[in-house]
This record gives sequence, C-alpha cells and structure tokens, in this order.
Amino acid sequence: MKRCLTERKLIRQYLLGALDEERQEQLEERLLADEVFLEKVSQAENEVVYDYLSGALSEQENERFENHFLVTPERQRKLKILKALRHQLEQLPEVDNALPRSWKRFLPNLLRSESYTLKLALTGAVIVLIGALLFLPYWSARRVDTESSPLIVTLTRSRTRRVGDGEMTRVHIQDGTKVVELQLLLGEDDYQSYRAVLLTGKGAEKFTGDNLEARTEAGNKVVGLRVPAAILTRGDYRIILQGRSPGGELQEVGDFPFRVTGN
Amino acid sequence: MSGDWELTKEAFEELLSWLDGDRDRAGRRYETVRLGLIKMFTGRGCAAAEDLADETINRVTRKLPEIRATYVGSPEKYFYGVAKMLYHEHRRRTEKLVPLPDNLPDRAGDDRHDELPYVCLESCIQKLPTDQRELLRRYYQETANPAAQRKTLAARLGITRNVLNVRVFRIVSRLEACVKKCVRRGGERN
Repeated sequence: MKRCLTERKLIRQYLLGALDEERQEQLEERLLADEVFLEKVSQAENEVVYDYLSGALSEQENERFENHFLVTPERQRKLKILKALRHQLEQLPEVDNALPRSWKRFLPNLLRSESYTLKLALTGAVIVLIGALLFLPYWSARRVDTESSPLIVTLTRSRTRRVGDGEMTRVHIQDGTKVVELQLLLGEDDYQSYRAVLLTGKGAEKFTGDNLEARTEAGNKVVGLRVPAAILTRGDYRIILQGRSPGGELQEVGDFPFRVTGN
Repeated sequence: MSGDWELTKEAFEELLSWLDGDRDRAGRRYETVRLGLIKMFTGRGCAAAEDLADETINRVTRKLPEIRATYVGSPEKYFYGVAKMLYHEHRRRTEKLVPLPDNLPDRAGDDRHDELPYVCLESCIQKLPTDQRELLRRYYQETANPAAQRKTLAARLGITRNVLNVRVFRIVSRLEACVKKCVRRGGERN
C-alpha cells in the first residue's frame, strides 16, 4: 500500500514538473514499457485536473499546474472538458437506485479487491499455512539449532570430477554436537549471495542453504552452511555451491566433498 | 520532420517483429510505446507531442536494419534514447514553453462561449448508461471531504477505492473520446 501511495505521489510530481531529472527519466522509460503504468499516469492526470478545479491543490502545486501541466493544447482541452463535465454532472438529478448495493460493502477495503493477483495470493497463503501445519514435525527435526556452539569444519573445493579418498576431508562428529558449520573456502569468486546444496554420496539432497553471504575467517573468504548434526550420518557427502549474480542467475562455484567417519 | 523517408508496410512489419515474435503482443507493445512517447513529449511541454512520437518511431524503424543484429537491450530503451535526442533537437528549434492562451478556462467560471464541446459533452453524457452517469455524479459530487465520499461510494459498490478510481477513469476516457469524435463531426449525431 505504501509503495502504491509513493508511486501515486511520484506520478503527481512528474505531472506537475517537480521531479528531478533522474527520476523523471526512470518514469518516462516506464511509460514506454508498462501499459498498466501508462494508464495510472492518465488516471492521475484526471485527478490533478479535478483537484485543480476543486481548489484542492496547494499554492505551489497550483502554480506548477498552470505553468507546467497546462502548457500543451491537449491538456488545456482536457481541462475544458473535465470542467464542463463537472458542471454538467452538478445539474444531473440524483438517481438513488441506479447504483447497486453490494453485499461486499460489509467487507474491509482490502477484501473487496477484484484483483486476480490478490485472490491468488490469499489462496497461496492458505495453501502455505496448510503445508506448514503438515510439515511442521519434519521441519522441527531438521531445524538448525543456532544457540549451541557448532562444530566447525573447513572444506576445500574438489579439483577433479571424481574424488579419491586422499582428497576427502574427514569429519568426526562427537556425541552431543547439535550443529555442524561447514565452511566452504572460496577463491576469487565474488557473488551477491550463495546457495549451497548438501548431497549424499548417491546424490540425494539432504539440506539446502540459500541467500548465504561470504565472510572472512582467518584471512580466508568462506561461505558457512550450518546443518543439524543429526542428518550427517556416516558416509560420503558433497556440497554443490552456486553463486547468485546481480541478475539473479545461479552459477556453479564448486563442489566440496567430505566424509563423515562417525556420528 | 522525417525528410523524404516514409514508413513502408515492410518496415513497419520489421519493427513489429523486433518488438515481439507474436504479432498480437507486438501490436500491444507498439501501442504502449507510442502512447508512452506521446505522454513523455506532452510531459516535457511539447505541443506537437503526437508528431514527435511518430517521428521517433520513424527514426527507430529507419535505423532498425542497421542496429537489429547488434543492439543489446530492450527496444523501449532504444526508443527512449531516440526520443530524448529528438526532444533536444525540437527544443533547439522551438521555445520550450508555449505561452498560455488567453481563453484558458478559469476554475470557477462558465465557459459556455465555447459551445460545441459543451453541447457534445451533454449529448455524450446522455448516452451513458444510467448507472455510469450516476457513478460519475457521485464520484465528482462537490463535498467537503471528497475522499470520504469516494470511500463510501466504493463500499456501497463492494469494490476497492482503487478499482473505483479506475472505473471512473475509464468512463471519463470514453466520454472524452466521444466528445472528440462529436467535435470533429461538428456536433452532428455521433
């Protein structure tokens, strides 16, 4: 809603010639590419004219309206038509039963929306809620305990497709360990954020961490993936790390194999 | 403005195919670009906004065979760049601000001296279905608190205020088009 109001205000400022050049250019570019936005601007033009006619503009807006908005014959014509329309509407008699009284009048403004997107969003919210209730026990089991101190393991990326025993980092998880933080050593890679997928040796997905950020640990750039110790039973694992570019695309950064020798 | 170059059917088809592979979508995109250009030139105070919009489209179409293979970016961005250049050329040629005409309608007064649009408007309003006419009347009714008035109106109809604004805007746009058409025909029945 706030975004909507800001956009409306922005359009009004544009129409009254009160935007700085950068914002004006951004708005103009959008005019050429977004038909919904184009309609909003046309709608705002009518509103500005009506506000002018009813004396609802501030003194400064009034001045901008007359010196900026009204400089084209097309807008002067619009002012004339809307002014005449207002005058004629005032002469019309009231027809009370012409407008229906909808049952939706008892609903708050938001729920009266005819927007397909909003309906879809509400349906989606219900589905997510049901899903959340169904999967709550499963999620609880997988939830990472962020309070207890984790076992930290630093992993380097594999240089070969097939990983031999010699290159594999070995991890032994002591009793009582709740969380393992797998720190993935980065090279020159520099992405906005990272996605790490933990796979078993057979390729089954066990855990995923998204929107992870790189940080510096002991002079090395790392990405940390915190996983519940309970899911790391004995066996071979690998983490596929992907970097997210500013455009939102995921690019593969590396493959980090390791072996859990005891848990 | 465009010299001796003229927009041919083939060149226009080429332009549409650049905008979108699907002809219907390309047509809609073209319309948005054109209306957006008109709005942009109008917003920058150009009296001949439509001519400038068409000239922009002509220039882009003329340049298209050269740039199509190498240009990277959205067609709209390219149109916008050309439109800005054209605007600066136009500004050099003409005064930016067109002086306001003396017969600008004052806010409160009656402009019945300009009879034709007034008569046309009257006839166009009469052609509206009763519910639309009543909607407009209530929406624009003079009141101390227009926002509250519109809130009540939206509630009565069971729609949001935003939907109400759009609905009224579309009725007014149809009225404007009706008046334009009627004025063009000199007020005879349209």
